[in-house]
Amino acid sequence: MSAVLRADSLTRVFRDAWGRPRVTAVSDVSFEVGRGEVVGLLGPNGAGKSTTVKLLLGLLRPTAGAARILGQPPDSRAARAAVGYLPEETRLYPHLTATETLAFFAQVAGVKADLPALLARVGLTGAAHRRVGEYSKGMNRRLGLAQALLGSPELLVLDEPTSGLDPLGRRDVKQLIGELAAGGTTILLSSHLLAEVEDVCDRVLILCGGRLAAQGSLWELLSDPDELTLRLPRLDAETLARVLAAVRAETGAAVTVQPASLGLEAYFLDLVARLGAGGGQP
Amino acid sequence: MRPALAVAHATLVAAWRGGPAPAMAGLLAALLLWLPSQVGRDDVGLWQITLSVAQALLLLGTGWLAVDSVGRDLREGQAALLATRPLSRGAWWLGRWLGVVAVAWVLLAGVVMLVLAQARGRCPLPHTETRAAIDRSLVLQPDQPVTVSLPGGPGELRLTVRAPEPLSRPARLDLAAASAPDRAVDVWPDRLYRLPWPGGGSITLTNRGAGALAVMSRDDLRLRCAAGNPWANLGRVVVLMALQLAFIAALGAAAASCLSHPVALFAVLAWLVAAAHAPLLPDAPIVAPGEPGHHEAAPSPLWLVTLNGGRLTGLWVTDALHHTWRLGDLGDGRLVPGGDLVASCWRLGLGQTGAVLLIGVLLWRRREFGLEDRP
Repeated sequence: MSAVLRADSLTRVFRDAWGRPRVTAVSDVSFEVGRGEVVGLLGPNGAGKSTTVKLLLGLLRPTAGAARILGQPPDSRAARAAVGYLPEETRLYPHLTATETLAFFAQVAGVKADLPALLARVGLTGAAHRRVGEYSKGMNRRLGLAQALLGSPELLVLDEPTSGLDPLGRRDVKQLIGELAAGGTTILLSSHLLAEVEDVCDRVLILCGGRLAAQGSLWELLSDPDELTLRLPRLDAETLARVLAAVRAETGAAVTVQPASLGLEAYFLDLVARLGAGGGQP
Repeated sequence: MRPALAVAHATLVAAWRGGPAPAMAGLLAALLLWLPSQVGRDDVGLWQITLSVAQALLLLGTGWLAVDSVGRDLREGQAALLATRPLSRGAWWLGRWLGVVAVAWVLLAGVVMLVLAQARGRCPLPHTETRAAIDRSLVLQPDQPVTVSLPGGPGELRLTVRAPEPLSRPARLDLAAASAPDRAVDVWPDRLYRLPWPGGGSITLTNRGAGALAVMSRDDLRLRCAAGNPWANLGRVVVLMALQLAFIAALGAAAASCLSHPVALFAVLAWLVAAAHAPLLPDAPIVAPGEPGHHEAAPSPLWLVTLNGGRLTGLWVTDALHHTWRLGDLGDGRLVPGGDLVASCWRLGLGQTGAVLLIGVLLWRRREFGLEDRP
């Protein structure tokens, strides 16, 4: 698999006004992201996620090491033509409408785009001619995502893409990421929402204190070789007792039984879908 | 070129929809409609004040808009977004500058239309012009005639002389025109004398007193006479104003590229104040008679030149802006010579604006983005 994105010993030291080292935000971070992969960049606040993303995009210059996009320096024209970026905070021009905003970014990037289709893809068709200054935070986020998708970039770098979105919006974004990945787009997703990353990513990079603490596929990192989870249809009490007895007899270990849970997000989405279909009656 | 035009268009739209441009237009319109209505037809002084205030508003507004346009990109993270696009940073920065210049020139066009409307109605432009006869200090030694070019006339000569020390009685001065007999006048230093002048292309001044006198600046020796075509003068003033606005837009954008928003704004304001007052100290202080070099313009020591901010920047940057601070002069009927216009096109338009633009683009290309969340 060819590397679309590559970091070689990336290091960034921030200095004070006298040039003395103040903070090492990122230290010796190396990794590769292959074509079509969805990779999550995880870490607590201040771990260096945003700095790493900015180093990868050429917005900041590394103190040591190098980043490459499709084998090119990130500030080269070829690299920038291949990238779509959604920053952590989307503050687009408040006096332009959504259509004007996308037309502006398409023009400066020199790409042709079907703007109505793009707005429909992020669910903003109805607000296409409203000024961005009147948008909610979630709508701003959707518009930011639309501008990142302009020109169908090979590499999409998303910094907290679902920040400010409601559960429906989060589901839509996750679906969109899935569709893009299926279409061959490489995605680097920076987030501190673990469930979000778990839902959409093939692989994760975990930063802590500016260093790469762990990396690997979700299966490699999360699977516990000593335990199994068995999902079964509802069983009556007598059958369940027999199954548990058989398992205990075979393993000699304690067995935990819990009712299966949809999870709050799935429940919420289901409820909203039913309310929508039933005209407001659950 | 297209990306730069797209950025310029976005800047123009933001300025109009966001409020700064309509606010400036409203202020300028109120000023140009209201103030002239308060004055009589011959009160050129208030016309001069009105036009000077309009010029100051335009320059301040343009400087602020330039700083805000570039500073907002950085502050609100749009710069980080644009920097990831395949767009030349230079084209993007120049697009911002072009947008600000477009706003300023649209406002200038509005000001000119209002001035024309007022000039055709209540407050006609003065039908006199004032020409500076000298552009450096003139030292008048006793009984040594000095001849300077003074085209135009007949009209009214306005003369002020300076003396190194107080005089006990007025100094006698002979004034000779090329085509008229000499005329003797008694003058006290530091007073304005208005004398009828026959014209003739030049003036010869002979100091008949005992001590040296000086004519310190072009304002000390002026000729007011019937103007040929005030509209041509207005045209030259508008071109000079357009150059000033382009320069101040470049200065604001360049300052915002390397300084924080409030500091950049302060820098532009400080520069405008320095330019308005440059040179802060006289070029040639008068040395008391009897001391060596009293008959020569004394050179300023380097430390004085360095301390004198107006001169320091004035020699190269603020000088042209100072000498083209002309919109208010229009109200006084002062003529902008064609030579000044050509010189300003080269110095202010091409040389200085070009240099600041180059500096701005280089700063912008070297800049890092996304430092707002620096740990």
